[in-house]
Amino acid sequence: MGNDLVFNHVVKRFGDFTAVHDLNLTIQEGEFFSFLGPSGCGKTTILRMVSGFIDPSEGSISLGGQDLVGLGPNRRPTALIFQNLALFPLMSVAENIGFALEVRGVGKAARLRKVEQLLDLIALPGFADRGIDELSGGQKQRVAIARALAVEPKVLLLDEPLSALDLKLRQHMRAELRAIQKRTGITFIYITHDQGEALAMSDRVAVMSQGHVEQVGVSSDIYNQPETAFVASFVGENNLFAGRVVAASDGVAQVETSFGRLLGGNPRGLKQGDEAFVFVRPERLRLAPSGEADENALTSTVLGEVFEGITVNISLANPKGRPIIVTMSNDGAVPSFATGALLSTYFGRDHATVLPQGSLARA
Amino acid sequence: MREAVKRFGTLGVAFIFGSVAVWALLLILIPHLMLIDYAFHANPGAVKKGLAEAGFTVYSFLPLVDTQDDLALRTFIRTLLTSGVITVLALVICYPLAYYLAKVATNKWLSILMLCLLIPYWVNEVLRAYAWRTLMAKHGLVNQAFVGLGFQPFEFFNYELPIIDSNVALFVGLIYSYVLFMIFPMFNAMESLDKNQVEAARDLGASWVRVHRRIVIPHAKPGIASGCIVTFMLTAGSYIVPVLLGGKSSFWFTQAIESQFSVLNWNGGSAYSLVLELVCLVFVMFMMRAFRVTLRDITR
Repeated sequence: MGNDLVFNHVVKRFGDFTAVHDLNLTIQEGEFFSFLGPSGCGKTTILRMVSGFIDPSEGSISLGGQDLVGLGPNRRPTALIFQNLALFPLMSVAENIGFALEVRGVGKAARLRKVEQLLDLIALPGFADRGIDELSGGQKQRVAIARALAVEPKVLLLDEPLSALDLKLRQHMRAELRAIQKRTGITFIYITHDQGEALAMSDRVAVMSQGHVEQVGVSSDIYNQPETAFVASFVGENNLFAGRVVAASDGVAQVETSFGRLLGGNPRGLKQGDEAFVFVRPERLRLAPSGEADENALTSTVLGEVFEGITVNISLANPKGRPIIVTMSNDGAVPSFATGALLSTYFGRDHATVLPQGSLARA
Repeated sequence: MREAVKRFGTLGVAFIFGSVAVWALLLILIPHLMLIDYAFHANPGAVKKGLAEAGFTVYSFLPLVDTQDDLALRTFIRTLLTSGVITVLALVICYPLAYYLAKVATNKWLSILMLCLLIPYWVNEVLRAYAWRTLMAKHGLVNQAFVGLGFQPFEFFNYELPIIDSNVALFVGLIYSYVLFMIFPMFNAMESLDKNQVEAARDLGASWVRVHRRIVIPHAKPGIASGCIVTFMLTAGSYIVPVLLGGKSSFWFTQAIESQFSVLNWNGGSAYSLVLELVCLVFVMFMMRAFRVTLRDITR
């Protein structure tokens, strides 16, 4: 495709530390793509390599077939929105938005016309002469977006720009960002440690850990079909049962755990004897009338419950002290559980995933 | 105010305000009133000879506008011109250094370089000027190196720079003496600049020149202004460096002032001092106007 961003065997080292290991990835033109991972996973390094502040130690990054490596940040068709926005406080809104045009020698009249257009796009008409200090958090956000869009970059890079906003505004800005991306058709690359943000906005998400991309996929696949133990435990809540595979057939593995023998999907084709984790989402666990469930039944003691509004989280533990969390939808039929009561829950084998322990084994 | 009384007690507040008042009165206001009074009277010797009136007179200022015997006037102009050139030169030298220290250097390099900058200032100004004198003497270390490299020895003390007609030794000595006063205000101002601002400007396509013109310099303006003001005033008001490095021809205006006092012409000395001070005041106001900064920005 025309302006795909391609990472080809990209490695970045800082001294002895490898921040990004052998990254191979194609981000399609017009895609809203997120890198999701904990701090230090290498996502910011990737962003800085794309924007040109640092170059990879090995490999190449190309945009629409043009190699970007070696081009300074001022000569790349990319624009970066900083975590703290980095608006220029000594300039007006119009000067901020028009800065990239000023740099390119666009005349004042043409610059102002473009600024007006962009102010309409971000729904802040008439703000041209305001000072940056006079703007609210959300308005600053939008001005930063407009400033980055002024030169019509081929790729817009966003470094957790929403993290400083309060919850309501953040949710509003998510929708806004998505809408702007749809309207402009520019490739957005979004860096975040907030999975809610990544899953809600993105066409595709790359989950990263310790410099490796663990999984790339659409949000629902990342959540429902994790491919590694890291993805399963980092994205969303998950119950984890450690054990050893005792039988595997027809895409189903049986794992011997401290809760007894558990069955789940076996996407990675684990074999008998392999160390494994069984992952079950808290919302996939069901209450079991005592003795009725014939497989994957977990009997444990209630430790307490946390009322979250939409859901109720019940925490439990088995006799060996291994914790479980059950999330129930607050549909008006959630019974009240006394602390210390015995409770039996179960899950269908197609709601559980059996994955190799991988890098989580020691954790 | 009430807050301060609660915290320090009435006596404490009285002490704070009292000491400031005493400072302002005894050390600033009264000396200046005396200076003005002296300046606008002729010295008793001249009055006795009938050269000047005994009351209010501008007699003491006359040597500064005397085009026949123009030593004082020439000295005055040379002093201001040289100070101006030194200020500009110090700015050019210090700007990149201050930027490097504030925004580029790693912590390790910052402390090493800071130490290198500061250590010479632990030595007394007189000794530093003497050191330069020895270094740049006719058979000094610098000239020995020149000769060793096959050049002629250089007459640091006799070679006059064009236009400003100060000698090279004095010029070098003055720059060296006041460079730090240029670096530190700029360093302080630049340090508070968010590095992301620079990167954002780069990312938006700005060249390095434009990054400095549009982002760094506007941000560091108060520091640049105060660095220039301090450097200019210290240079123009410097005494010991010109005495030790000035040679025969580069008479400094402070030396002219001193020579008045040394022949007990307090009125002449006061008049010269007043003029130098007024010029410095005009320079400060000009810099503040030119850089569009307020006193508050500078004292920050």
